[in-house]
Amino acid sequence: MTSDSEAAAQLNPVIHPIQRLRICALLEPVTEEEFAVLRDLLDVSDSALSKQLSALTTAGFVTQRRAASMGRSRVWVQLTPSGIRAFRSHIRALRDLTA
Amino acid sequence: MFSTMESDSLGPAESLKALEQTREQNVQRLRKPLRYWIMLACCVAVFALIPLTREWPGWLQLIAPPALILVIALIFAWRQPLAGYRMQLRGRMLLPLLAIVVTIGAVSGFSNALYVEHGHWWIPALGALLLFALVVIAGPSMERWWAKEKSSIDF
Repeated sequence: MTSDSEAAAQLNPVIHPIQRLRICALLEPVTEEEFAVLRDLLDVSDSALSKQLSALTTAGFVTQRRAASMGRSRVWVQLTPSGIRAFRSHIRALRDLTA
Repeated sequence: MFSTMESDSLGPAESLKALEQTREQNVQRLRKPLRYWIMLACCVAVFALIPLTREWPGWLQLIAPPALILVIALIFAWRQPLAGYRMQLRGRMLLPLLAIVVTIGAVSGFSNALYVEHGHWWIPALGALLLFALVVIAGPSMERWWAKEKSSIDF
């Protein structure tokens, strides 16, 4: 069984802040999600969400693309394969810590 | 009021609790509105009604079902665009979908065979009703299961 210290070491510092954790959890089941939808689901401001997405993007866990749809420019956010792996590994570490 | 979204890390138990709440949020938000399932159920029910067109001219038999499906889709899409799936379906997630498709095929086939044998108009109508109920009941349940299945947050 993994010890607490080993599990704690597996916690990803980029994902661990609660809003980034929630962003990953919201993105995981979908191919991609619109920025505005994420903002509303998290009940945060555009700038606050941008800041968190920027941290995840820098770590390579998230990608963002801009696309025009019905005359409106929208930003779509996607969890990358490495983001999915890091998120799942983070959840395993959280479970180990609470077991 | 907006949260500050600073590095508000929680303990493991609180983090898991927040994740569980997010999973429930996912299950809710990824669910399609009931009108979508009613539209799909109407379209599927059309298949069971096809045998009733046997006495119609050939060209009408060919055109009527897709035209009816198009009309149904247009009516339901009139006020609300059709939602698209953003979930990637993989592996065993396809099994309930396959089961529903096979059941639709079986009910349509059985209803058609009975209609050919007995000629009662109400047999295709009953088949259409069964298919409608199947899609309206099984569709949303399958979607809820998909949303949970896609999430690694499982306790």
